[in-house]
Amino acid sequence: MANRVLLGNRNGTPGFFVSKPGQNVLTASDDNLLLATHLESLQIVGSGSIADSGTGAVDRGIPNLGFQPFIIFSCEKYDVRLQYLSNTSVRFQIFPGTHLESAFGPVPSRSGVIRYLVTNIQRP
Amino acid sequence: MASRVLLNSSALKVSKPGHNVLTAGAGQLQFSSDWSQLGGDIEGTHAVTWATSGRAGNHSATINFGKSFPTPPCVFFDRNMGGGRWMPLGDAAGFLYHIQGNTDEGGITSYFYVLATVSTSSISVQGRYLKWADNVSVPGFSFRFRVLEYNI
Repeated sequence: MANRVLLGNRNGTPGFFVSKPGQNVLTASDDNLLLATHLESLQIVGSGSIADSGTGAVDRGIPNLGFQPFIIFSCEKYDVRLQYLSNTSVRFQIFPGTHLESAFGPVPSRSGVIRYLVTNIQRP
Repeated sequence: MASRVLLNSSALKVSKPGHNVLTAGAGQLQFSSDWSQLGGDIEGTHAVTWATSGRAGNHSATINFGKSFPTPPCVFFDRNMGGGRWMPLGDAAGFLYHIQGNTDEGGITSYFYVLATVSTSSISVQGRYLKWADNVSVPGFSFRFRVLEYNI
């Protein structure tokens, strides 16, 4: 069975490494690693939600990473756009979502809650 | 050379090159066991089947995760476009897909929507179509999904 977990030096690079099944963590290429701390790993630094208060703008503070982080956000009901105000503050601009009432009557109810995840990766 | 890996009874941290892991701020870490990760262990496909009545049809289904998350997980969707092609749909909360069929003269021939919403324990899928002529085909719609959870 191949060695798959390594905490220490891997070809001179320190870190924690886990290889794919069947791959030797000591010799595997980066493409054959499931976890490698010498590469930036997408992790979640913080999360939050914004209650449905209709359209408009809502500002939120985010953890200070020293840069503007990539943020995953979602909302079932509204069209939401994200604006970075600083490294520690963002604004969610909330616009009306798609309406189908004219064709079908109201679509089933949707949640207007916005959920967001702040990652440790710098935004593009 | 800066110390870049810290492992003790409460944490595993790796700093970015050139930063000392013992003094690095959050933005100077490449990995920290204090932070959550997105993890995926639930995926599947769903085909929308219509309960028809005349020129209208409805669809209602629940895709259960088999567990309950503390908060609704991220769920990413792809629509099956046929021929091995998949198109991402919506955002991590669900999607609302709707489309209108038109004649060459601009008249409406059909209209349908599919709505998927995510809760802590399931995906609710609802849809409806209307067609204005008997010879208009019923829309085909299927998608696949992947659930990514996080604990924070």
